[in-house]
Amino acid sequence: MIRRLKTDSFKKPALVGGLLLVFVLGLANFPDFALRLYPDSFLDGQLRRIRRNTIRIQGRLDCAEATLSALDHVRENGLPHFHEGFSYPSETGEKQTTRRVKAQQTADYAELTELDYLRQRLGRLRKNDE
Amino acid sequence: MNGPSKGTPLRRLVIRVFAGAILCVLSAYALFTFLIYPFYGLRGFDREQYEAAIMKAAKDFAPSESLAVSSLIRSRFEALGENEDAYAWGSVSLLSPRGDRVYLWVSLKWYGSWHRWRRDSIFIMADPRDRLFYAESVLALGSFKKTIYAIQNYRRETLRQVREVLLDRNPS
Repeated sequence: MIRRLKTDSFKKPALVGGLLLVFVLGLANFPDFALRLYPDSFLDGQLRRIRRNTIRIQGRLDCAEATLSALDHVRENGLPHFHEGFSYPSETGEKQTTRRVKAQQTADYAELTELDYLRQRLGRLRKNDE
Repeated sequence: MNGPSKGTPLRRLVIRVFAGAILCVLSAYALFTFLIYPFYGLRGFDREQYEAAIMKAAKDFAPSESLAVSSLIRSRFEALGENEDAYAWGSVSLLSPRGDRVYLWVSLKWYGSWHRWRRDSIFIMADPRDRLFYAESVLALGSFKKTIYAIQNYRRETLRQVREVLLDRNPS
Protein backbone atom coordinates (compact mmCIF):
# COMPACT_ATOMS: atom_id res chain seq x y z
CA MET A 1 0.00 0.00 0.00
CA ILE A 2 2.60 2.50 -1.09
CA ARG A 3 1.07 5.80 -2.08
CA ARG A 4 2.52 7.45 -5.12
CA LEU A 5 4.38 10.70 -4.59
CA LYS A 6 2.31 13.54 -5.98
CA THR A 7 4.96 15.30 -8.02
CA ASP A 8 2.52 17.81 -9.45
CA SER A 9 1.93 19.39 -6.01
CA PHE A 10 5.63 19.67 -5.31
CA LYS A 11 6.50 23.22 -4.31
CA LYS A 12 9.66 23.86 -6.27
CA PRO A 13 10.03 27.60 -5.57
CA ALA A 14 9.59 27.01 -1.82
CA LEU A 15 12.33 24.38 -1.86
CA VAL A 16 14.72 26.61 -3.79
CA GLY A 17 13.89 29.56 -1.53
CA GLY A 18 14.44 27.43 1.59
CA LEU A 19 17.78 26.16 0.36
CA LEU A 20 18.85 29.69 -0.54
CA LEU A 21 17.86 30.93 2.92
CA VAL A 22 19.84 28.13 4.60
CA PHE A 23 22.82 28.97 2.40
CA VAL A 24 22.66 32.72 3.20
CA LEU A 25 22.23 32.08 6.95
CA GLY A 26 25.14 29.62 6.90
CA LEU A 27 27.29 32.11 5.06
CA ALA A 28 26.38 34.89 7.51
CA ASN A 29 27.49 32.64 10.37
CA PHE A 30 30.82 31.92 8.75
CA PRO A 31 33.53 33.75 10.80
CA ASP A 32 34.95 35.70 7.83
CA PHE A 33 31.56 37.22 7.08
CA ALA A 34 30.20 37.39 10.62
CA LEU A 35 33.24 39.38 11.86
CA ARG A 36 32.49 42.01 9.22
CA LEU A 37 28.71 41.99 9.48
CA TYR A 38 28.16 41.81 13.27
CA PRO A 39 31.54 41.53 15.02
CA ASP A 40 30.38 42.32 18.59
CA SER A 41 27.53 39.88 18.86
CA PHE A 42 29.51 37.21 16.99
CA LEU A 43 32.45 37.49 19.41
CA ASP A 44 30.06 37.56 22.37
CA GLY A 45 28.41 34.39 21.08
CA GLN A 46 31.75 32.69 20.60
CA LEU A 47 32.89 33.68 24.10
CA ARG A 48 29.67 32.33 25.58
CA ARG A 49 30.09 29.09 23.64
CA ILE A 50 33.67 28.70 24.87
CA ARG A 51 32.62 29.51 28.45
CA ARG A 52 29.83 26.92 28.27
CA ASN A 53 32.18 24.27 26.88
CA THR A 54 34.79 25.11 29.53
CA ILE A 55 32.21 24.62 32.28
CA ARG A 56 31.07 21.31 30.77
CA ILE A 57 34.66 20.04 30.55
CA GLN A 58 35.34 21.14 34.13
CA GLY A 59 32.31 19.10 35.11
CA ARG A 60 33.61 16.09 33.17
CA LEU A 61 37.04 16.44 34.81
CA ASP A 62 35.51 16.61 38.27
CA CYS A 63 33.43 13.55 37.39
CA ALA A 64 36.54 11.65 36.21
CA GLU A 65 38.38 12.55 39.42
CA ALA A 66 35.42 11.47 41.54
CA THR A 67 35.16 8.22 39.53
CA LEU A 68 38.83 7.49 40.15
CA SER A 69 38.32 7.97 43.91
CA ALA A 70 35.24 5.73 43.74
CA LEU A 71 37.32 3.09 41.90
CA ASP A 72 39.99 3.33 44.62
CA HIS A 73 37.24 2.73 47.16
CA VAL A 74 36.03 -0.32 45.21
CA ARG A 75 39.61 -1.64 44.97
CA GLU A 76 40.01 -1.37 48.74
CA ASN A 77 36.57 -2.60 49.81
CA GLY A 78 35.36 -4.75 46.95
CA LEU A 79 32.28 -4.36 44.78
CA PRO A 80 29.21 -3.17 46.70
CA HIS A 81 26.06 -5.28 47.06
CA PHE A 82 22.98 -3.26 46.24
CA HIS A 83 20.38 -5.91 46.98
CA GLU A 84 19.81 -9.67 46.99
CA GLY A 85 20.30 -11.39 43.68
CA PHE A 86 22.44 -8.57 42.36
CA SER A 87 24.25 -9.65 39.19
CA TYR A 88 27.90 -8.83 38.56
CA PRO A 89 29.83 -8.65 35.32
CA SER A 90 31.28 -11.99 34.34
CA GLU A 91 34.67 -10.65 33.32
CA THR A 92 36.27 -7.63 34.90
CA GLY A 93 39.09 -5.55 33.51
CA GLU A 94 40.30 -3.45 36.40
CA LYS A 95 43.50 -2.20 34.78
CA GLN A 96 41.66 -1.24 31.62
CA THR A 97 39.05 0.54 33.71
CA THR A 98 41.53 2.87 35.39
CA ARG A 99 43.42 3.39 32.13
CA ARG A 100 40.24 4.35 30.32
CA VAL A 101 39.19 6.87 32.96
CA LYS A 102 42.69 8.41 33.01
CA ALA A 103 42.78 8.63 29.20
CA GLN A 104 39.45 10.45 29.23
CA GLN A 105 40.80 12.80 31.88
CA THR A 106 43.91 13.57 29.79
CA ALA A 107 41.78 14.28 26.72
CA ASP A 108 39.57 16.61 28.78
CA TYR A 109 42.61 18.49 30.10
CA ALA A 110 43.90 18.92 26.54
CA GLU A 111 40.53 20.26 25.40
CA LEU A 112 40.40 22.62 28.38
CA THR A 113 43.85 24.01 27.49
CA GLU A 114 42.74 24.54 23.90
CA LEU A 115 39.58 26.33 25.00
CA ASP A 116 41.62 28.54 27.34
CA TYR A 117 43.90 29.46 24.43
CA LEU A 118 40.87 30.23 22.23
CA ARG A 119 39.35 32.42 24.92
CA GLN A 120 42.58 34.39 25.24
CA ARG A 121 42.75 34.82 21.45
CA LEU A 122 39.16 36.08 21.34
CA GLY A 123 39.82 38.44 24.28
CA ARG A 124 42.81 39.87 22.41
CA LEU A 125 40.75 40.25 19.23
CA ARG A 126 38.10 42.20 21.11
CA LYS A 127 40.75 44.48 22.68
CA ASN A 128 42.26 45.16 19.25
CA ASP A 129 38.81 46.08 17.92
CA GLU A 130 38.28 48.53 20.76
CA MET B 1 -4.12 2.88 -13.05
CA ASN B 2 -5.67 1.27 -10.00
CA GLY B 3 -5.62 3.12 -6.71
CA PRO B 4 -3.77 1.71 -3.72
CA SER B 5 -5.45 -1.23 -1.96
CA LYS B 6 -6.98 -0.16 1.33
CA GLY B 7 -7.80 -3.61 2.76
CA THR B 8 -10.90 -4.64 4.69
CA PRO B 9 -12.39 -2.22 7.27
CA LEU B 10 -11.41 -4.57 10.12
CA ARG B 11 -7.82 -4.75 8.93
CA ARG B 12 -7.67 -0.97 8.58
CA LEU B 13 -9.08 -0.58 12.10
CA VAL B 14 -6.50 -2.99 13.54
CA ILE B 15 -3.66 -1.15 11.79
CA ARG B 16 -4.94 2.21 13.02
CA VAL B 17 -5.33 1.00 16.62
CA PHE B 18 -1.87 -0.54 16.53
CA ALA B 19 -0.29 2.62 15.07
CA GLY B 20 -2.16 4.75 17.61
CA ALA B 21 -0.96 2.58 20.49
CA ILE B 22 2.66 2.82 19.31
CA LEU B 23 2.33 6.60 18.92
CA CYS B 24 0.86 6.90 22.43
CA VAL B 25 3.68 4.82 23.96
CA LEU B 26 6.36 6.82 22.14
CA SER B 27 4.76 10.16 23.11
CA ALA B 28 4.46 9.09 26.75
CA TYR B 29 8.09 7.96 26.74
CA ALA B 30 9.33 11.23 25.18
CA LEU B 31 7.20 13.29 27.57
CA PHE B 32 8.52 11.41 30.60
CA THR B 33 12.18 11.30 29.55
CA PHE B 34 12.57 14.86 28.31
CA LEU B 35 10.05 16.86 30.32
CA ILE B 36 8.77 15.10 33.44
CA TYR B 37 11.73 13.23 34.89
CA PRO B 38 14.53 15.85 34.40
CA PHE B 39 12.57 18.51 36.31
CA TYR B 40 10.79 16.18 38.75
CA GLY B 41 11.11 17.19 42.41
CA LEU B 42 13.45 20.11 41.75
CA ARG B 43 10.84 22.84 41.77
CA GLY B 44 11.22 25.49 44.43
CA PHE B 45 15.00 25.52 44.61
CA ASP B 46 16.66 28.84 43.83
CA ARG B 47 19.77 29.30 41.75
CA GLU B 48 21.88 29.68 44.91
CA GLN B 49 20.34 26.60 46.55
CA TYR B 50 22.27 24.27 44.30
CA GLU B 51 23.53 22.09 47.15
CA ALA B 52 19.99 21.53 48.40
CA ALA B 53 18.91 20.72 44.83
CA ILE B 54 21.76 18.21 44.45
CA MET B 55 20.80 16.57 47.74
CA LYS B 56 17.12 16.46 46.73
CA ALA B 57 18.06 14.76 43.45
CA ALA B 58 20.18 12.25 45.40
CA LYS B 59 17.39 11.64 47.93
CA ASP B 60 14.98 10.94 45.10
CA PHE B 61 17.48 8.68 43.37
CA ALA B 62 18.51 6.57 46.38
CA PRO B 63 15.26 4.58 47.01
CA SER B 64 15.07 3.58 43.33
CA GLU B 65 18.27 1.54 43.85
CA SER B 66 17.45 0.47 47.45
CA LEU B 67 20.09 2.82 48.83
CA ALA B 68 20.10 5.53 51.49
CA VAL B 69 21.69 8.98 51.31
CA SER B 70 24.63 9.52 53.64
CA SER B 71 26.25 12.91 52.90
CA LEU B 72 27.27 15.42 50.27
CA ILE B 73 30.97 14.99 49.58
CA ARG B 74 31.73 17.92 47.31
CA SER B 75 29.89 20.28 45.03
CA ARG B 76 30.70 23.01 42.58
CA PHE B 77 28.71 25.82 41.00
CA GLU B 78 29.57 27.54 37.72
CA ALA B 79 27.47 30.25 36.09
CA LEU B 80 27.60 31.69 32.59
CA GLY B 81 26.63 35.12 33.89
CA GLU B 82 24.20 36.89 36.17
CA ASN B 83 20.62 35.65 35.76
CA GLU B 84 21.80 33.28 33.07
CA ASP B 85 22.20 29.53 32.76
CA ALA B 86 24.28 27.88 35.46
CA TYR B 87 25.68 24.45 36.16
CA ALA B 88 26.09 22.63 39.46
CA TRP B 89 27.54 19.25 40.10
CA GLY B 90 28.72 17.17 42.99
CA SER B 91 29.20 13.75 44.45
CA VAL B 92 27.04 12.27 47.18
CA SER B 93 27.80 9.31 49.40
CA LEU B 94 25.11 6.60 49.61
CA LEU B 95 24.82 3.49 51.74
CA SER B 96 23.51 0.11 50.68
CA PRO B 97 21.35 -1.98 53.09
CA ARG B 98 24.46 -4.09 53.82
CA GLY B 99 26.44 -0.97 54.71
CA ASP B 100 28.53 -0.74 51.54
CA ARG B 101 29.43 2.80 50.53
CA VAL B 102 28.49 3.89 47.04
CA TYR B 103 29.21 7.24 45.36
CA LEU B 104 26.65 9.07 43.29
CA TRP B 105 27.37 11.74 40.68
CA VAL B 106 24.78 14.46 40.30
CA SER B 107 24.96 17.12 37.63
CA LEU B 108 22.26 19.80 37.35
CA LYS B 109 21.63 22.70 35.03
CA TRP B 110 19.85 25.93 35.92
CA TYR B 111 17.73 27.39 33.16
CA GLY B 112 17.86 31.18 33.56
CA SER B 113 14.75 31.73 31.47
CA TRP B 114 12.68 29.04 33.21
CA HIS B 115 14.06 29.55 36.74
CA ARG B 116 14.24 25.81 37.24
CA TRP B 117 16.91 23.20 37.95
CA ARG B 118 17.08 20.27 35.58
CA ARG B 119 18.89 16.94 35.98
CA ASP B 120 21.74 16.81 33.48
CA SER B 121 23.07 13.46 34.59
CA ILE B 122 22.79 11.31 37.68
CA PHE B 123 24.50 7.96 38.10
CA ILE B 124 26.40 5.75 40.51
CA MET B 125 30.15 6.07 40.08
CA ALA B 126 32.07 2.83 39.67
CA ASP B 127 28.74 0.99 39.50
CA PRO B 128 29.42 -2.77 39.36
CA ARG B 129 27.13 -2.92 36.32
CA ASP B 130 29.03 -0.13 34.59
CA ARG B 131 30.70 -0.68 31.23
CA LEU B 132 33.94 0.33 32.95
CA PHE B 133 34.12 -3.05 34.64
CA TYR B 134 33.89 -5.10 31.50
CA ALA B 135 37.05 -6.03 29.61
CA GLU B 136 37.27 -4.53 26.11
CA SER B 137 37.14 -8.04 24.64
CA VAL B 138 33.69 -8.61 26.16
CA LEU B 139 32.13 -5.40 24.91
CA ALA B 140 34.20 -4.96 21.77
CA LEU B 141 33.16 -2.53 19.06
CA GLY B 142 30.70 -4.16 16.70
CA SER B 143 30.04 -6.97 19.15
CA PHE B 144 26.48 -8.23 19.50
CA LYS B 145 26.99 -8.43 23.25
CA LYS B 146 27.69 -4.71 23.28
CA THR B 147 24.35 -3.95 21.63
CA ILE B 148 22.50 -6.21 24.06
CA TYR B 149 24.36 -4.60 26.96
CA ALA B 150 23.50 -1.08 25.74
CA ILE B 151 19.80 -1.98 25.33
CA GLN B 152 19.68 -3.61 28.77
CA ASN B 153 21.35 -0.57 30.33
CA TYR B 154 18.94 1.81 28.65
CA ARG B 155 15.94 -0.25 29.71
CA ARG B 156 17.22 -0.51 33.28
CA GLU B 157 17.82 3.25 33.51
CA THR B 158 14.35 4.06 32.14
CA LEU B 159 12.71 1.66 34.60
CA ARG B 160 14.78 3.16 37.40
CA GLN B 161 13.59 6.65 36.46
CA VAL B 162 9.97 5.48 36.53
CA ARG B 163 10.62 3.79 39.88
CA GLU B 164 12.18 7.00 41.20
CA VAL B 165 9.11 9.05 40.32
CA LEU B 166 6.70 6.42 41.68
CA LEU B 167 8.65 5.90 44.91
CA ASP B 168 8.86 9.63 45.69
CA ARG B 169 6.06 10.01 48.18
CA ASN B 170 6.87 13.56 49.22
CA PRO B 171 7.29 15.53 46.02
CA SER B 172 8.22 19.16 46.56
